[in-house]
Amino acid sequence: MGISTSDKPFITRVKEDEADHFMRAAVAKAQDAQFIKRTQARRELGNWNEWRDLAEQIRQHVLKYLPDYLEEFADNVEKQDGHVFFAKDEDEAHNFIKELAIAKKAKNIVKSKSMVTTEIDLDKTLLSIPGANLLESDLAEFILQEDNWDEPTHIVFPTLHKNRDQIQREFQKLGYDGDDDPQHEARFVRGYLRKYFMKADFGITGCNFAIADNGMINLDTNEGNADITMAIPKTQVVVMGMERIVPSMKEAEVLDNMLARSAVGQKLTTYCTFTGRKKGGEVDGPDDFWVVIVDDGRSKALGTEFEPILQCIRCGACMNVCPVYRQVGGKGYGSIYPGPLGEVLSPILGGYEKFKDLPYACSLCAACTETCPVKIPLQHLIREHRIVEMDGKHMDHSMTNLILKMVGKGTQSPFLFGSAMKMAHPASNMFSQTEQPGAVEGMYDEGKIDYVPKIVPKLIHGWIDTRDVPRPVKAKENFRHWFKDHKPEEMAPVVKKEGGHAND
Amino acid sequence: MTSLLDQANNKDNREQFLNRIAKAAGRPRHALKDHPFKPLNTLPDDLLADKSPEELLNIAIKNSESVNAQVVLKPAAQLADFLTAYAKQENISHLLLPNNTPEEWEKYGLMEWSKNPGVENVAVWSDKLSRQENEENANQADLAVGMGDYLIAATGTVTVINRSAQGRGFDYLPTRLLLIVPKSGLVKSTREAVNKYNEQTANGLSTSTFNFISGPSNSGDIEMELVVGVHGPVECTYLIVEDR
Repeated sequence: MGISTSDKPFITRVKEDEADHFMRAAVAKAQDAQFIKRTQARRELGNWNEWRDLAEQIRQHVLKYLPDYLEEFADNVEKQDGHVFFAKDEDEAHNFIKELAIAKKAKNIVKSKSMVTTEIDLDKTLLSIPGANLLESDLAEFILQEDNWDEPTHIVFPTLHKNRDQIQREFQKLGYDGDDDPQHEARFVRGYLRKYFMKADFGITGCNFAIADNGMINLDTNEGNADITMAIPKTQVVVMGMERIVPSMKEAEVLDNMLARSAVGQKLTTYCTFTGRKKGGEVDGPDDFWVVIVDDGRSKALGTEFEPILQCIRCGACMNVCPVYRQVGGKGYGSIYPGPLGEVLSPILGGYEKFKDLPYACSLCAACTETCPVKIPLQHLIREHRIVEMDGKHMDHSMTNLILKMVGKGTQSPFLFGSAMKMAHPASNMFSQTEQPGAVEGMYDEGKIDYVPKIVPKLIHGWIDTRDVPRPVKAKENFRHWFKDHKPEEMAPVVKKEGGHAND
Repeated sequence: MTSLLDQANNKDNREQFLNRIAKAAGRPRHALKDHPFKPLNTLPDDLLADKSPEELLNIAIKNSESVNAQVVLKPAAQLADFLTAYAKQENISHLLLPNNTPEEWEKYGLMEWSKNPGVENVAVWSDKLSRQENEENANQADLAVGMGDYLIAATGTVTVINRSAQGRGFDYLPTRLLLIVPKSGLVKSTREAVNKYNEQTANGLSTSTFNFISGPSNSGDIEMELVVGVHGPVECTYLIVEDR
């Protein structure tokens, strides 16, 4: 799939989501439910803003010394007979893992949920290996896989857009004959996947945090599938974005607590695991332990105004408070990273050409920044993308750009401005209706513009289609003339208010 | 064409990558040694620091129950009877036990019980068996009775490590998991548990895994409705030994 989930234009995607009433209701319900749970979990911890300061400090410190921490981590993995590969891009990362799977003669590959493996299009690559099977083991990812690799809607709840009946129908194709109760559906998946788990020989997980000083990886999950993925297969591959690293388990546990509270309103996820290659005497766990550290465009943010986005711990709280996400839903963004996170990260990883619309899917309300547990200034970064697109890359070649340039010229010249004011009334005649039944008196004395032909630029459509615009008055009756023609009148006498004073 | 696999643990692969990102960041490498991380506050260490042991236990029980873990407090002398009754109540037919030393069982007065727990099929996770045999035993088990190290008050969590006597599959594959944890293992926070594991590691503990387990497995992936019991155990019990 890669980072891009759709080739359709942004407006088309938004229109499609607008028509998906179940999805929109589900997103609203999720946002409201998460608000209550998240707020409660943070209150119970206490001193939330000071915890945020600490989390921000941890993430900023690590980014500042990122090469040193990655070096320390790699040294410690290698000391334990593990293997580390540094992949500069998506192709290197997925080709490496494909080569490894072939070399290990992997037959039954099992994955646990990982955004970065979706980003590097790993599933598709592994499915191209003849004779290899692949199953996503996270419940939501499994549902998406069974529904012909449907697009995810959310980084924490990827199947938010699906209802229990749709899921029941997907599972019926696998032999499920139960009802649409989520409990029964989940138990069916437990049994179905357990059989596969028991014969899995190649496991792939993501990584919430890599621990620099002991070479372990830290995973936060609720279902237990990631831990089984790290227990049964003899080969384990960990795929991690290069920024997902912390100095030690002490900093990891701080972020684990903040991640769980921010993502799902839990104090800690059900399974918070620090793990690595099987050690002497242990019976299970990976004999072969491989870590693939992925850049894939992240370094483009390093040392720039966008570096703070690499502080992200993927909790999804920003999309859970976003008013635009609430209306558009995850698919509308066309990126595996939706919401405010995706608006900042997608253009960096996937390029401005592909994701140029995303920074505009934002009202700059700053709710995301307010909730972010690691204090990423999201709305500032979104605005910064707009500046890059307009001033740096000059990407707006639309009629809007031309019109605004003309408006700029027109308003600089008194003659042109005056002429435009004179022409506004007669020129708007053909788009105006003078009869306004039911209108408030005095509101549309000259009529209302409520129609413009299709050919008119979208900037003007944007105003006219959704607003009641009064027709401009005749130049001689406009405010400037009215002001000039009226002398100040004698001040009206002050009437004493009931129970008050004359000068109140 | 050279294989990408040859580049794993390869100095050139690592150096090129790290030099490239250092250059992109505009910051020199190897500056960390002069600027180690110094946290700006002590919140993780201060969490629940003002609570008495009794208050901490009550908080631990409340938080454990909020994650759907069943909490049972018993003195060591009553553990064997409790476990026998529990297995009977749950109709356990396949029990999985760790390969504890006699001293480890006897610490909780469970040596005799471990030899005769009153369940039809009893398997022991052990490095004497093959990996596959252990995993099959765990997969068959209705109940695993294992040992936990710490009970974390702030999160309702019990911690376990991977060891030859109790592996990863032991904690994740059985239908039910019961973890015996001494009351002396009660700690305030995840920070305190991490500190204790760091101390043990410095003193020679060797394990590939620290597991922090908070209740049974669960998911909210279908319409965000909480489903308890997905891939891991569907029930999880913390058996706190009051006098150990």
